[in-house]
Amino acid sequence: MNGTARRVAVFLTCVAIASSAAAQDTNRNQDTNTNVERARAKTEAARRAAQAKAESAQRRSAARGRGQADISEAFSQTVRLVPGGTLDLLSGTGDVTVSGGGGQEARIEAIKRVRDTVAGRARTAINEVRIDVAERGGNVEVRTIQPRGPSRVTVEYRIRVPDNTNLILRSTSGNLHVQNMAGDELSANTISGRITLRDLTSRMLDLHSVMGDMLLHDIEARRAFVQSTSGNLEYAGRLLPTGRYQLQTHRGNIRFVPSGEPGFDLEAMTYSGDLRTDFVLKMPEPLARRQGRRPMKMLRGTVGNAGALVTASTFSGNVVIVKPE
Amino acid sequence: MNCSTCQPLLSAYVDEAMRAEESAAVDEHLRGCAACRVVAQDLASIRVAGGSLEPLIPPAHVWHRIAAAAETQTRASGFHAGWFAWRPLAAVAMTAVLAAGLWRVGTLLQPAGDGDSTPQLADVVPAAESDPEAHYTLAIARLEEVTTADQDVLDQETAGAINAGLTVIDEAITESRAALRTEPQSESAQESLFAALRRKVALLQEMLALINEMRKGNQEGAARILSEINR
Repeated sequence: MNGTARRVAVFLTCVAIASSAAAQDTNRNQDTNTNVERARAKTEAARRAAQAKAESAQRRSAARGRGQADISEAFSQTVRLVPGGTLDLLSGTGDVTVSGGGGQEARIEAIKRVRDTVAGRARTAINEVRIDVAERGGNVEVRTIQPRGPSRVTVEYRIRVPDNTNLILRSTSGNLHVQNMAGDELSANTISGRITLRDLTSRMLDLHSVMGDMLLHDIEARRAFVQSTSGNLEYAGRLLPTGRYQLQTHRGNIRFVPSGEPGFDLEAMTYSGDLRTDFVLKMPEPLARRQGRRPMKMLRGTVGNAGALVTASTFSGNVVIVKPE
Repeated sequence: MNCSTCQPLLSAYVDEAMRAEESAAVDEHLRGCAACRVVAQDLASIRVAGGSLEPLIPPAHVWHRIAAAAETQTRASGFHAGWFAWRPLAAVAMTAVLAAGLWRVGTLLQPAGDGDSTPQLADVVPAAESDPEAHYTLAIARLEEVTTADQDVLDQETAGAINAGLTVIDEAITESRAALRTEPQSESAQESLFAALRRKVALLQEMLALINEMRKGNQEGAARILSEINR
């Protein structure tokens, strides 16, 4: 009788411990979800507030618009830029387009534009906007000097350079667009603009944006580091056998489209998004087994004969690794 | 180019890590020099052999994993020597990376007057006995202190864009930390946290350099300094 009571007591104790552990596990999961949801809600609220503020500023600006002065001025300069040389551009606000062409020179065209409610102030401001172009040993530096003050100043660039040119592009807020180039290094950095690259061959790509998307199409690079905080990242191009391709964003989605017969090691991860790939991955056995039981948040494996290394990481976005259509 | 100038370049040459014109100069020398050609071939063989090895690029989250494993081991064995032997080295390495960036800003900072105080590295990065996140946090706090006080010297467009960028980065940091509180081993959350912290330090450094130049009324200098920092 005593033995039976002891067995019952032991059984009940085990049940109690198991229930408690299960409850803790559930609570922990709920905590995780609650914290993330709370952070998301806070982010959404901040974004909505920022959007409302921007819309309000736009409305005020539009209301003032009837009496607004809008002055623009064209700029053009051609300087020597040897093939293999570097174009180093620092821009403030305004879009930048760089295209490859022949020859041994850079043609820099720009539109300076100033908007202000006071015409006299706008005229003064446009005279203070300077574009300094310096040629040093076959390389070219372009600097945009914008005045302080209430006027809204933008400078839009269209630049043509030799095909084989290295690029260093920096912008505070403006889209950066580069096409038809075959340089050695390309570095582009913007806070709120979009970076678009098309038909481009470069040994090294180093691209950063805080709020902008990055769209790279028809790319051939040996090293690519593409990083944004809230932008989407898209990379489509041929992978080189010893290439390294690293894409990282916090809130954006990542779409990676390797062309040709790619062989690569893949590491892809997301915290709260989804992972998807068209490729058949050879995965380490324990990882493959573990992933069979729960949604994938991490993909590690090899496609084909490996060679290139691809890492794609996002916090709340999706990662998609697909074959070209 | 002769053998003594060519041979130090051969490693970069076989790695294809040179500019096109340098590579062409090495090519030209190799065509006429059998000795350097042999060295280049040897290096190329080593590179091919190395290429067949598993790639080992440690991402940011590796630090957390190693630290967690080391702490578990320390707790389990009660033996502290192994952990304490390498932890300062790792911390020093992280500090060195951060310090290099901050020193760069420090050298670019010139006080506008006698009353100005240039942030000292020692103020920003204290002893190396802490984790990398703490170093980033300290550096960010110090940089924010300076930039918040003086950002009115920037034009509205620039200040607006930088502040909007900082807000987005802060949201990323908050979300990553919230995730890590409940899932400390999440690699994507760790990766996101460190990427956002690095980005914030870089953006604040840019802002500080701009402020300093604008305070001196040197807008050309501000433009120049921005490009130097990001080189």
